[in-house]
Amino acid sequence: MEDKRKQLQEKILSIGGKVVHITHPEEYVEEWLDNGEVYDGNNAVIEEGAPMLCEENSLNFYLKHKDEGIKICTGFALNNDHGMWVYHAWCKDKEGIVHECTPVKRDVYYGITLDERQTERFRRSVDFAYDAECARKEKSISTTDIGKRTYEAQKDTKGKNELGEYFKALIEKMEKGRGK
Amino acid sequence: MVNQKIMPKVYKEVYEIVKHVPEEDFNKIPKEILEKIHAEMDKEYEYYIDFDNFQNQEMLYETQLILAMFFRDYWATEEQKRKIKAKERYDEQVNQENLREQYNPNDLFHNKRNHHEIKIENVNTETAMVEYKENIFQKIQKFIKNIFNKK
Repeated sequence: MEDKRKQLQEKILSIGGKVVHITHPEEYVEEWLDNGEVYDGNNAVIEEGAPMLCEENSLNFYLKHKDEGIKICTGFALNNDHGMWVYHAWCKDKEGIVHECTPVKRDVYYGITLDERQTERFRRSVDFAYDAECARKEKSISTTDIGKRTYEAQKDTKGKNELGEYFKALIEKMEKGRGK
Repeated sequence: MVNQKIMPKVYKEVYEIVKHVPEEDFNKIPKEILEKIHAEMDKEYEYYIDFDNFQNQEMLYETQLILAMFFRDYWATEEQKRKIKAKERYDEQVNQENLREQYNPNDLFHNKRNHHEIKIENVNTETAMVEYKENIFQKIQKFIKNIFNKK
């Protein structure tokens, strides 16, 4: 596996840039290594989208425009200012033009265009409400069964309260980060 | 004390389970909590659910605690919530009683000459308390079991 990651790293750096960190699972590394393409960022169309949410923004853009031939791409994007490639998601149209769905301009893209199966996997990994909708159609678990299964832990009042406080603090931190 | 190192795996287990509950119950969990769980879970951790034998499903203890918390706060009926909260209040009272017994200021400043006598008394008392607790414990177990048998 380390071998494949190294091969991908070398392939990407041969295009440009100074550094790329690849920590993704083997399946993704192989897809990028075998089927990756290079895209010029100079022609990219910058679409509206919140910063740091490339996956969510790309998915939303795809869902809005898929009937027009828009596809999702995943891979890496380079910003020549700092020479670093970062994992990224974007869209492309029928003409192969990149639609960048975050407000940041990138110089070069390297990645794959997702097919139907990969798009479905991507959508389920990004949109947990959709993932849950698909999951409960496959198999369901009742909350009563969950209650029975966790009956031993129900007795651990201290443990529950500790976790409850831990979550509360995490959520507050998240909301502060969003400026709520 | 929450073991933070294990939480990504816990989140993955919780997520894989809750995504299979009915939509109405899934939507009762605050979106912020689901977002947090989804963002922080260990996506490479493979966790499979045995749907045919869910009562023996392997899960980390922290996973059980989170699911127990979800059950108490979002899924339990009003009657079940009332019973769980009554049980929690009882636990708190027992805990306070135990702390009072352990750290009774009167005992702290008791004369040393009587120390040996006190020790023997405490041993006997503790033994009696253990036996008494077991009976109460069995009653509590039945009480909790009944919560899930009635819905």
